[in-house]
Amino acid sequence: MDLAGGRPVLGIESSCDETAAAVLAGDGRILAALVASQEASHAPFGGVVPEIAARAHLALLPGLVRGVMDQAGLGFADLGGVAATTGPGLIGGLIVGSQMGKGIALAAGLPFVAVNHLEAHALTARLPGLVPGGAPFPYLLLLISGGHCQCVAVEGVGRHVRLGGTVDDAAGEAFDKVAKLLGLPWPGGPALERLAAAGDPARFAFPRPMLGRAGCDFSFSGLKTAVAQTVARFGAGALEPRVAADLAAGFQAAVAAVLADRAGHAMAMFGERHPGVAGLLVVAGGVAANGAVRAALGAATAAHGFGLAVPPVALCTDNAVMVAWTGIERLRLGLVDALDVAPRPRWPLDELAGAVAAPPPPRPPA
Amino acid sequence: MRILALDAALGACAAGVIADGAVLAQATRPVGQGQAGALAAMAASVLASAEARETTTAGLDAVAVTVGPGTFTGIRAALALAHGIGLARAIPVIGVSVGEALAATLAVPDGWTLWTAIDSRRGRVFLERAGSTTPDGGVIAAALDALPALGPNVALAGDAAATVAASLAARGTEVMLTAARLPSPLGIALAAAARQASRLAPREAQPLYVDPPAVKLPATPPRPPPGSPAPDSVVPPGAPARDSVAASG
Repeated sequence: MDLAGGRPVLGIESSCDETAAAVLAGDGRILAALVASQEASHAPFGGVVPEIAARAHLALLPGLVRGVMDQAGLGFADLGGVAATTGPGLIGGLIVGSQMGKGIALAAGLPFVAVNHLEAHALTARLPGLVPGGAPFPYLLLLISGGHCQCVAVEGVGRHVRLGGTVDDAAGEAFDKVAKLLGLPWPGGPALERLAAAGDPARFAFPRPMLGRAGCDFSFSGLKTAVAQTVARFGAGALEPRVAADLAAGFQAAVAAVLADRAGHAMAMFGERHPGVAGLLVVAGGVAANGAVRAALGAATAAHGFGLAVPPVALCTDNAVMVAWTGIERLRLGLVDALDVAPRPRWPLDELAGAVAAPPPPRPPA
Repeated sequence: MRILALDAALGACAAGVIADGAVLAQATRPVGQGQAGALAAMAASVLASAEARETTTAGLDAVAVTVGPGTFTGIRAALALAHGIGLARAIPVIGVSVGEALAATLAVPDGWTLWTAIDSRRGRVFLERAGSTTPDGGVIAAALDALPALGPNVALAGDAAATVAASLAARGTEVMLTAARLPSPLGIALAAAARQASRLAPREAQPLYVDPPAVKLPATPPRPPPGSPAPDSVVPPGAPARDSVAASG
């Protein structure tokens, strides 16, 4: 059944501004992983510029693929499959990554897996050794990144139920926009967290959009506007460090409170769908790196009797390990994609092909 | 030398397998939506038919691919596919320009200069002079209503050849309109073989964009970082310090 025959799988990620390649052994062990960040190329523009990203992906990817194959000490004939992110994301990068993956697959006679980037984040928790017990299906995913913000019941490979999501900005987008308002460089999330560490979260009372609202949707644009209006009171120049720190702390506290509240609702919704299942909340996306957010989610999961799994930051942000792993999971179930599959800039999780019954969780490494 | 030729630079996708100038298999398809998806399947299909025609199982020696000028999406789709095949087969990926691919199968009389004219949309064209050895590959971008002088006797190829020919003829330039509009797998393979034999100047197997990315820096300068000095706080030498002024009030 395993189309990869237990052999290693190459993964390629290029859906936004990270160019990445990785090779995983058939059992999920990471043999090699490289990520080239394009951050410096986009920073002067205050955000990701799609055309700059597309150019960089094509310039970087051949070297990265060669690099991971060399590091893993493998030839392409040793592989059991090739997996590449084919959506959702920026179309220029998706074309580059998926085409390179297809080229390798057709030239080496390997099966090709068109990976949904969101499913890759969702399945990361099942990498062997990451979560005690191996994260069997079903579990709850909270994906909080610069481009995505949603709660998903992960019920099997290709079987995902979106419980709720943002109605406007993603959580990471809100961090970046507020960081910009405070005069911090892009991407602003980590810099904002450092600034907030010295701040008083109670000095500025920012709104907590959606707090207590039924369901588990998110909204961050009103919060961003509230911060912008407050910042405007301090004039156009540089903010005093004290003021900036208090603004950052107040904003971060509001986001953490909202995420914890929404995750709480999502846990209740998940419990109704899956009564009697030991609940596990898996957090993915760059915002999962934020300490205040982690702490708030820790309290929320404890209150709901859920376990909390936050993969290491390098596996939470965009990477190719998760893409290769998704390839392994899909190939194990006999799921493969044709070479004429087209990249999809928009590709909701509930439109995934190949929905099948939940397989047993991966065995932890011996 | 057996070459897989790939092209998606202009209005079509093409793939072909060419052995020492003979076409073993080829396929061409007009670009619709999702040409990025179609080209990989076309490449697999021509490779399979070329291999089926052969009594030997001789492998590919190189992948040849058009690098532009043309549509960025198509160029990147073809180049990424070519690099994937090149990596997996451990064979070189050879970039050729659209003009080089067209010139490879065209004979232009002495005294005439071949230019390839490519539609770059919004009233602009890319113009590539055949045989150029300059670092920019002899490609210039020009507005259709402000074309530069291309020489006394101009032969034209490419998807904008007819439009450019009409403009030049209206100005009194001697113009010869060739029938070459889109790169053929044969032309791509011949140009690649010429490059491999150093009869064409070296070229990177990366897109020939001509123009930098069409992006502008943010119109309003960002707020300075917290705590940085305000421009008006620069105090001239000898003037009282700001703090002492505030303290006196």
